[in-house]
Amino acid sequence: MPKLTIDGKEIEVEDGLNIIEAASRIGIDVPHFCYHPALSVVAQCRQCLVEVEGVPKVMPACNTYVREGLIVKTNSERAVKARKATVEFTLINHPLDCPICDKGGECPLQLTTVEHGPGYSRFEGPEEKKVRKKYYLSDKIIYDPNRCIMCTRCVRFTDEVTKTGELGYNGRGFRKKIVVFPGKKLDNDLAGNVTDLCPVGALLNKDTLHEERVWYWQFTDTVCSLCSNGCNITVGVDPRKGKVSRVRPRTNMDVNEHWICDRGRYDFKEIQEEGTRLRDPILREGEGFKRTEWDEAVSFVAQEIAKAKEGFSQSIAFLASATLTNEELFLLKKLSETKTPSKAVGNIGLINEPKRFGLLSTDPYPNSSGVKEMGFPYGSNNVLELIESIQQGWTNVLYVAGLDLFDLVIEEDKESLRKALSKLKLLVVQDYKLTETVRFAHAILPGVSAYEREGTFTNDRGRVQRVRKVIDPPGTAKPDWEILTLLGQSLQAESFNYSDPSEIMLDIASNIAAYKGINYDNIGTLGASTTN
Amino acid sequence: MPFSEPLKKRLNTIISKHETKRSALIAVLREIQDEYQYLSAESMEEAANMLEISPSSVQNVATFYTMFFTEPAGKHVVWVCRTLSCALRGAEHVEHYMCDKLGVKTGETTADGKITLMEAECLASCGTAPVMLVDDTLEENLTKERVDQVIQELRED
Amino acid sequence: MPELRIIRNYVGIKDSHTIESYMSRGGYAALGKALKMDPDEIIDEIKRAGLRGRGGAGFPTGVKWSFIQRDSKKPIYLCCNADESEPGSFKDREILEQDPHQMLEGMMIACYTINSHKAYVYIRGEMPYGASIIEGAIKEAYDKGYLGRNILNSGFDLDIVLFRGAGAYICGEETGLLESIEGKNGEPRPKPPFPAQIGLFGCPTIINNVETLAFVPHIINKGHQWFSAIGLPKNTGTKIYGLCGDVNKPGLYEIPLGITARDLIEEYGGGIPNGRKVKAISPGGSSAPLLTADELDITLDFDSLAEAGSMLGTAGVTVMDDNACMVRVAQNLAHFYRDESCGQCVQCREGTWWLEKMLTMIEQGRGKMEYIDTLLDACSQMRGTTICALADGCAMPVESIVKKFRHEFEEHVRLGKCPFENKHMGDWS
Repeated sequence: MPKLTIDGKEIEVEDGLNIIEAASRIGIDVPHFCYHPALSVVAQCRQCLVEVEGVPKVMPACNTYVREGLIVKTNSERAVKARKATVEFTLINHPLDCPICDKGGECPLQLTTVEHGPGYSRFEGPEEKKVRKKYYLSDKIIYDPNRCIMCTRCVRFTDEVTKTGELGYNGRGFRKKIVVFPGKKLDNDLAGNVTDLCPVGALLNKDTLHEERVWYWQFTDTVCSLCSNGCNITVGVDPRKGKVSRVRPRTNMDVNEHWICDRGRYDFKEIQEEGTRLRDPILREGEGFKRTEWDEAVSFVAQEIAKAKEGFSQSIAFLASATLTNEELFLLKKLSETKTPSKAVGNIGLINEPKRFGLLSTDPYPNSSGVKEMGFPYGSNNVLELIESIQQGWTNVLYVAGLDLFDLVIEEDKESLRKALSKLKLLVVQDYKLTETVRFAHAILPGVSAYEREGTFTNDRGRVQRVRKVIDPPGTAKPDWEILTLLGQSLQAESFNYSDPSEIMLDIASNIAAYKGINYDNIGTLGASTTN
Repeated sequence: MPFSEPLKKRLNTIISKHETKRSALIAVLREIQDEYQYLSAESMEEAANMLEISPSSVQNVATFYTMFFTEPAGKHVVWVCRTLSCALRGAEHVEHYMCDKLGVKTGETTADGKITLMEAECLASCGTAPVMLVDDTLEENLTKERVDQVIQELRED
Repeated sequence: MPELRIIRNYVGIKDSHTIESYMSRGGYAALGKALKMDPDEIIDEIKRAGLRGRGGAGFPTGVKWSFIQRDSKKPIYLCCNADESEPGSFKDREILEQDPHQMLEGMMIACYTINSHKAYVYIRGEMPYGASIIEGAIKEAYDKGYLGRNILNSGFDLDIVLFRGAGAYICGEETGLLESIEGKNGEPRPKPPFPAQIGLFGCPTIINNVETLAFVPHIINKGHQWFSAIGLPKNTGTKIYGLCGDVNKPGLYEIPLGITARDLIEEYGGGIPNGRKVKAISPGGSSAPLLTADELDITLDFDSLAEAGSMLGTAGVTVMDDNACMVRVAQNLAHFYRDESCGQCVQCREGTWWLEKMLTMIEQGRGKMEYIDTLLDACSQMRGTTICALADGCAMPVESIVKKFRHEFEEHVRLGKCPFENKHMGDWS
């Protein structure tokens, strides 16, 4: 562990760190554009120039590595002057169009200019600047060569991280720009990450172009719910609109490193579409439906469950989705066991090929691990058996939480499923969106999407991570844990006394061995591992 | 249009003489350009496949080095040196004279597709300035008469 | 000072590029001698001869060779830098075209010394004739057994291959050259690591200039004492000076290091045409800071020029007479560096562009007085802040021109036009 001195402070750090990383350990921010911890060091932007004792030239901190006795000055007159000059050079051909640039407000170049720049430009006449046309690199990403400062992060990303090589350069020197090969697109599954990597507004998302201002956004750290990998994300919400504006990766070296896939990034729109969401409790009334209050819906469903549980034990079954949180799964399992143990089955996804780019799983659910660990029999056989038992009439009351049965059968079997569901004496569906299953329900309990709930998911590597509420659900929809708590309380008040998911986790920790000792404090923002 | 078999054979010979496939790229591009007068997107992609690299990395190199053309160029390429030692001995006059004679601007190709006029940075023949490189031949101590002669020869070829 | 032709001994000889001609002039004797020497002995000989790199930086060649760990488990490479592209420099072209074996023999001795079995000649793309000559010479050397397996029964194996560039000044920078051989853009690598540790294909590599290598056989043949007695202390041997621009007899002259600029121009160059006077010279390729007519008595060697705030560089001397507009000269050079910048570092990519833009505006009469100090400040921030020295190469001459000919810049601004009458630089007919 070499000891070195940065700005008069002595620190001891592990070998192999560069000065940018070492300085950040003691709270010194060395500005940079081209350096990124996941990419090769190219030392091109020259923004991280610092003074190193014994070296005549100013040195890029990104390509200067710690060693015993090294003395670095980031704040010497020479270093400060060099960085100030770098900003001026960088801005020579960069349009000062921050007011209409989507990156404005979170732009590293803008921030660096304010903190380290000269505060004025000696280059006159915008008409003298290079002007080149913008163009699309894909359907989702637009490139503005005028704003580009040639940090090459995006090119190194496609060369070194995705290894798909879509991006390259055209020309050299001041003519150089980023291009895709003629006829090709930047369309790999991780492509959207280049918009985060870009330290200026050169690579932007087409979907929100000129629509958003980052300073209105409120950011919440949560996890993605679109597959079993559980990528850590930060969600930006414009509170004036109450809608998700942007999903971004959040670095977690044990889960997704620095990246998310484009589905996770762009596919949040579905939950915000008008007309697809369930807003209020609904009960069947004759051939039609009626909207109702929670009190009425809960007491109706609780009564029906109690009645079914008094009869033949196979007559009621609970079906759980791997989109539910651990807390919700725990409650649903508990509900199935209340009064008399009844059939409870979980549906999970399968990982049947290596994850693409190390993070895209074929299991489309965020919590297949939780389904298994909360004690649900799982596997496609169990689910098909359940459908079979409905068709045979052995099961005539079904409680479905968070899934569409029609997603589980092949096209040819859908008609017989429709018939089976029509035969049910009672179908309760708890879900956040209108599905085909919902159409057969006698009671519809509107739950919430992954952006509207608090709880935990356990990813496919056994990491328990918190999913956080970032927006309000529509109408009177309630978080699923709350719905299950209300039902439980109606059935057996004393054992469903929860006012917050964190309390449910305490019960999980004391009942399920793999979760021993886990609580919301030690899960924190990066998760905690279950024990196996 | 895919490469002809003879060209492919020549390219494979070139590749086999290099230490790594990638290191053959510049020589491969030169050979392809000799055949087609420029490097089309199709050619670059086929070269990329032969060298097992991405088409983008072929494009990087094809647009970095000035002697490669990614747009159709003329049958003959004339590189007039513009840098200081030639400029002091009249290179600017030579270039303007060429433009007038050929009816093109620098970087353009004559309408008959015969001659592309390019500006070169120092051709390392400063002692015989002004100079120009006509395809593979260096023309030194240029005079108006010699320029006229060269243009005549190229037009007739 | 009389001309002393050590490496230009081919001048006036017919077919001097052939191996027969070279051998008739004593060629390949040094190789036989070297192969019987201990590599350390050769390094010592080169060090004591005081041979300094002729490519521009003047780094002691023997010291450079000693950086190689000869027992490296990886292969060791030698690259001969024949990418001569520095404006004002045209010395290597002649060696390549007229006497390639001299350089090849130097490469062979260098390879034996650093335990390299594979060497490259990197020749610029714009030298097709030179490339064909080198290719022929390499073949001749194989045929005569100076290349290949077990050279001259010494047990030493060596292959030399020719690599042709495709148009990029920056490939003359050591690591830009290596990138180019690897089939990439000639973008210089951040240093450290240096090529002697991690060079071509990740292996230890030495890069030497054509002229430097050409001297090696002569030093082996005649010994360090002979060589170090020529020229000046610490600036030993002869140097090929290239003389061009506004001078009566442009050309190459091999002279012991230490001739003054005035003597070179007057004695060898035959003075300035049309009875004009020298206004400025660029003493060592375009990257060197310029000297004024008052500085012509400085001797053109490594240390004297460094002391005078310039550099010997490639010793390509460009002369400008009193009819030259120095703003236009600066603009011409900035244009060169702008077009040749690889575009990695911002100080270079944007700085060369900015300098060229300001100089053009001043030349066209659109400049302002404050541009003059901005030019100087931009130049000072372009020096020593980038991966390679291209930005320095642009900033140094421009800065020297602005400082030494400031009045011309002021006059352009004051008049709102160029005070020189000619539409184009130079005369031509």
